Amino acid sequence: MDFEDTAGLAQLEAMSAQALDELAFGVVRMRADGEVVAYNAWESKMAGLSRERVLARNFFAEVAPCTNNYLVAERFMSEPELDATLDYVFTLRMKPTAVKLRLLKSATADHMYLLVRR
Amino acid sequence: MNNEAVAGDEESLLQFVYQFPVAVMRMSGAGAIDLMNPRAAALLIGLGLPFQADQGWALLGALDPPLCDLVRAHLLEPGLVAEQRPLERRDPRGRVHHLALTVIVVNASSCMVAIEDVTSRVLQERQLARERQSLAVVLESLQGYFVVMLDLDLRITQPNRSIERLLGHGTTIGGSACSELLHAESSAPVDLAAQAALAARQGWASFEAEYRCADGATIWGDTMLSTIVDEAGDPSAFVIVARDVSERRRREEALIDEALTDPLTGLLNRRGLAARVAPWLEDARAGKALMISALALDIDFFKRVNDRYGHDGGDAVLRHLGQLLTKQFRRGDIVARLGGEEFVVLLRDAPIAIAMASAERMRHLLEHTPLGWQDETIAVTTSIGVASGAGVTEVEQLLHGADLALYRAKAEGRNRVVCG
Repeated sequence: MDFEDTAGLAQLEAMSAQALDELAFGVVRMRADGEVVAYNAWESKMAGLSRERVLARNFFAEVAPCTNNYLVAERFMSEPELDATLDYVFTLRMKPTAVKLRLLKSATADHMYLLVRR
Repeated sequence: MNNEAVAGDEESLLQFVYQFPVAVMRMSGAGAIDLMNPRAAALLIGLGLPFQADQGWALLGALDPPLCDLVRAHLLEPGLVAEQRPLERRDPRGRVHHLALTVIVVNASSCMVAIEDVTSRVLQERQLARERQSLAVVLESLQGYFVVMLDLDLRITQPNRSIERLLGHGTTIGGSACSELLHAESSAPVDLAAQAALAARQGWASFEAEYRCADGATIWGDTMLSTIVDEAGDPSAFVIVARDVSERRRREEALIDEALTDPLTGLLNRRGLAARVAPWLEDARAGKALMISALALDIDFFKRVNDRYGHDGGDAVLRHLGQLLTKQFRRGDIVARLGGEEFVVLLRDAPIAIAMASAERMRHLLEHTPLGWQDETIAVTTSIGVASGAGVTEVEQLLHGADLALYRAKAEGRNRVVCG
């Protein structure tokens, strides 16, 4: 699957954690409250955080505070249906890095997703 | 140390920096931002600032142009360039953010910028300032009330206009004990500490107190002492709100005075005497060995005065004696007219010899102070009976003894002092 895939959410929901690790972009699978359920290998490598430090944590508050604002976290929390792509800056290992984010959420899906591409 | 442990430490450190509650970034003298923490990214992007890693100066310039110039000018002088420099900026949603910028130039190729979003603190401070201001307006415009803020030691924490207007005390009253606001010799003293203890228990206490004004006057305040509690529910301060009830109090006191005063002479009447002597008798009952002396006075041949000068002349003589008595005796003595030409003086802590001496002075004074009345001169004399007692708890007996002595003084030829 690609970062821009139009059927992204449905495809991601069908993928196992191992399958997510094969992807060439970052994937964060979260519950509705932001708790991280899956954190793929690409994202773990880029952020410099191992899975153990991230899983079961709140993504916006504990893992990536740089997303804890109205542009990312608040949209996830307030919009029931969400498929938005935006330019953003991640501070991976404190190095400011321009990234593209895709925010995916649907009332019909169990999880919501944050996709990250350099 | 093995590599795994190093990696773990590094990861832990990384996570620690991720969680920094302040936005921090580092840039080179050329303007390249090489490091920044997540909060910095969240803040800058949230403010809608165009971000490019090599455009540090543009970023700082967009945020705070004068500061940007200042930092660039200081690149060769390492040190603190700005500390908590306040800045206001609107985000793309139109919300105003209050920021505090701190910049340290480490050296020509490294410059640390910290940005704090202090919006909630600033808004809180503004809200507080507004509340303080509206409180000041209330205190400014309060008519007939004053408000006193107190700490737990009952010291005045904030002087205000309402105190100044009603009591005349300026800002120097701040820090003083609240008891200093109370009139020390009030007829109804208030135990402020006891009232505060009550207020601490039940939330409030109400009482009437006589307050001291800067000019020496006093006002009566219908007072509500309330307790202010902290989050844990413990008392943290007190506040007094007092209403000026001096007028009502004065009217009441005037009514009481009227009931206790003889209108002709202005001396106490029989009820007034009883009211004034009551505390003396209480002291005696409480076991304080108290010597009370009574002088019973009577104008000699008063009927002749009335017959010759009429009732107006008789009244003038009674007033005359009343004035001389007031002049002769101390404020603490009790001087009363019980009716007709019958006068009584009660002296506290005066042994019989002193009572006799002052009775004799009084007799002498009246004899040698004739009254000028309607082109005439009215000369009168007085007979005085004196009785003394220690530990007197009923005043009637003492008055009776003085009366008996007075009869003897009359029987012995008048214009004299006789001891009972």
